[in-house]
Amino acid sequence: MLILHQLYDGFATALSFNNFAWMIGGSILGTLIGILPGLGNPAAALAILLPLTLRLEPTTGMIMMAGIYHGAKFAGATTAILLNIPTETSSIVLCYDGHALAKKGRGGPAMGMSAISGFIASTVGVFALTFAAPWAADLAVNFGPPEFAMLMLFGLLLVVSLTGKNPVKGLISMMLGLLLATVGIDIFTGSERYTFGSIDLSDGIEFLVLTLGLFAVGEVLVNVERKAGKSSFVAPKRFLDYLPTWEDLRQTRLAIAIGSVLGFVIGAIPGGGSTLASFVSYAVVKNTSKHPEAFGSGTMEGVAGPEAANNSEAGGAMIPLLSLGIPGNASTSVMLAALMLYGVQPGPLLFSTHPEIAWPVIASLYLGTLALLVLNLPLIPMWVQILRIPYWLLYPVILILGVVGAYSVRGSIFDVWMLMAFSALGYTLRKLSVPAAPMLMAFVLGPQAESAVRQSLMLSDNSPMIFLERPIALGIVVLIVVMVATSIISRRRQRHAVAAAPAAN
Amino acid sequence: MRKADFVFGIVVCLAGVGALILALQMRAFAGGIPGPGFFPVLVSSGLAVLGAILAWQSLQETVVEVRAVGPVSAVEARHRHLSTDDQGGPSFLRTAAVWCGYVIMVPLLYFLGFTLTMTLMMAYLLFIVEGRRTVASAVAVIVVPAAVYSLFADLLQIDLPSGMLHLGVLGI
Repeated sequence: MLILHQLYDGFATALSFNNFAWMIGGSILGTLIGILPGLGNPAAALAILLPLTLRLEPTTGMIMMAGIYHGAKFAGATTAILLNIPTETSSIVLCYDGHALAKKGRGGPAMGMSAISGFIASTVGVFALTFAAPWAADLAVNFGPPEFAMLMLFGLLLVVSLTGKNPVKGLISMMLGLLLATVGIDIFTGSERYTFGSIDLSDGIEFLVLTLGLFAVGEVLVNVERKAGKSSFVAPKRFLDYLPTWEDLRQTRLAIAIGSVLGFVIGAIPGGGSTLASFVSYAVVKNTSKHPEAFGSGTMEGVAGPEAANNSEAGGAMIPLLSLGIPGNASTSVMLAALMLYGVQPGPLLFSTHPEIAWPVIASLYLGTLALLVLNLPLIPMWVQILRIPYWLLYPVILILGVVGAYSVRGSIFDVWMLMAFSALGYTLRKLSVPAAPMLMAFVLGPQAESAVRQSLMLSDNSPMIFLERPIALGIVVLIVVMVATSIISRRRQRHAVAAAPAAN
Repeated sequence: MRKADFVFGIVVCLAGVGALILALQMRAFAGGIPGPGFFPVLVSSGLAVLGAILAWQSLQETVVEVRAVGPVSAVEARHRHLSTDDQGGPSFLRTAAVWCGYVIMVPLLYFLGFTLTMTLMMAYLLFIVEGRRTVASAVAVIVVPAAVYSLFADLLQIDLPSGMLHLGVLGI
C-alpha cells in the first residue's frame, strides 16, 4: 500500500503543469532528435539536451530526461524501418524485418506496429518497475563495497561479452573509459593523476564532452565520408496507412508478450541494456514462431518482439539505475551522470532520501508512454517529413550544438578542445568497429568502481579473497564466470551458423 | 592479417605502457592501503595486455566476428547495410576537411565569439566542403548560428563565448 501511496504522490508531482509540460516537451524533442539520422542515438540526444535539463529543478530535469529517452527510442524505429539505418545497436534487428516490410510496401503498418508494441511493452515495464524498484533498493541495502564492485564488473562485462562482436575490442573500450575516469584528483588522497600540470585536467574530464565527442560529433565525422544525396524512401501519407491490421495484431500478440517480459528482465540486470534485450527477444521470438523461416525477410513478429523488448527495457533499466546507481547502457549512463551533477546519489537510499525524485520519474514513464502513443503515432506522417531534411544542412547544426554543449559545462574553451580530441577518437573507434558504449559506461562507473575496490581491500587488509568470502559477492563472481563461458561457447556456435548461412542477393 | 586492427592493437599497447609508466610514479599503496596509483596501474596494465592480444589476433587467419546472442548473427550475415543514395565512395578527405575546419574554429572563439565563429564555420562547411553555393545555404549560414545563440544564450541563459569585438549584438 505504501508503494501505491508513493506512486500516487509521484503522479501528483509529474502531473503538475510545469512538470507535465516539460515531459511533453522532452518527448517531442527526443522524438525530433531521435528521428534524425546521424544523431538519433538516445545517448547523443540526452547529451545534447543536458545543458537544458540541468537548468531545471532536479525532479523536473529528470522527468524531462525520461521523456527524451522514450521519445528517442520511439523515433529510432522510424529510421530503422524506412531507411535501414539503425540509430543505435538495439535498432539493428529492427532493420532486418522492418526494412524488408517497407520494401514490400508495408512500412507504414510496421511503424504503427512498432509504436503499439512499444506502448504495450512500456506499460508492462513501468508497471513492473513500480513494485520491483523499491524491492531491489531494499535488497541492495545489504550490499557493501565488495558486492558493488563485483556488480559493476558484471554489468560492464555483460555489455562487452554478450552484445559486442569482438570481446577484446569491447574490453579495450572499457579499459579506456576506466583510464579516462582516473584523470584528475584522487578523492582518497588528493593526489593529481594524469593532469600533466594542467589546472583544467585537475577537475577531470567532463562526461558531457566525452559523450558528445564519441556519439554526436564522432558520428557526424563517419557520416560525412560520403556525400549524401537525398534520403530515398517511400512513406505513406495518411495516418490510417500507419496502422497494422487486426490480423497483424493477432499474429504478434505472443511476440509482444515475450518481448515485454524479456525486455524488462534483461533491462533490470545491471549492464543488460536495450541491445541485449532486443537481440535476445528477436532470437526467442524467432525460435517460438510458427514461421521462423520468414524472419529476416519481412515479418511483423520480427518487428513487434524486439521493439517490445526495446521499450520495456526502459522500465527495467530504471531498477539498477535508481536502486543501485548502475547504468545499463549509454543512455542511462547519461541519466546517471545527470543525477550526480544534481548532487543526487542514486542507490539503495534514493527511495528513502529523495522520494521526490524517484517516484515522479517512475510516474513520468507511465505518462510518457501514453503521450508517445497519443502524440507521436498520429504525428508519424509529420515526423517522417523531417527525414527529408538533407544531411548537408543537418550536420553543421549538430557540430554547432556540440560546441554549445561542451562550452556550457564549465565555460571553458579547454572543454571545446577536448571535444575535438574525443570526436577524433569516436571516429577512429567507429571505423575500427570498437564499440563506444562500454567506454562511456566505464567512464561513468569508474570512480565508483575504484572506490568500491579500494574500500573492499581496506576492509580485508588488501586481501582480494574478500570478493570470494562474502556470499553475495561470490554469487556475482560465479555469474561472471558463467556468463563469460556462455559467451565463448555461444560465439563458437554462431560462427558455424554464419558460415552455413547463405549470402543475400 | 587485419592491418587496421594490428596497428590499433600496437597503439593501444603503447598507450597502455605509457600510462603504466606514469602510474608507477604514483604510490600504488600508501600506509598499507591502496593508494592513488593502484587503479591506474591495474587499468593501464590491462590496456597494454589487451592491445597486445588484439595485435596478435589480427595476425591470425581472419575469423568471422559474431555476436554471442541467438540467431541474430546468422540473419545479420545475410543482410548488407544499405545507405541512402550516395554520390561516391567513402572519402577520408571529406572527413578530414570537416574535422580540420572544426578544430580551426576553436581558437577563433577567443577572438570573434560564438556567433561569428559558427557563421564562418558553417560558411566553410556549406560553401567549400559541400560545394553548395545556393541561396538556401547562404540563409542557413546567417540564420542558424544567430538562432542557436538566441536560443541558448538569450532564452536559456547559457553562457557562450563572446569574443573581443564587443559590438553588443548576438554576443559579438
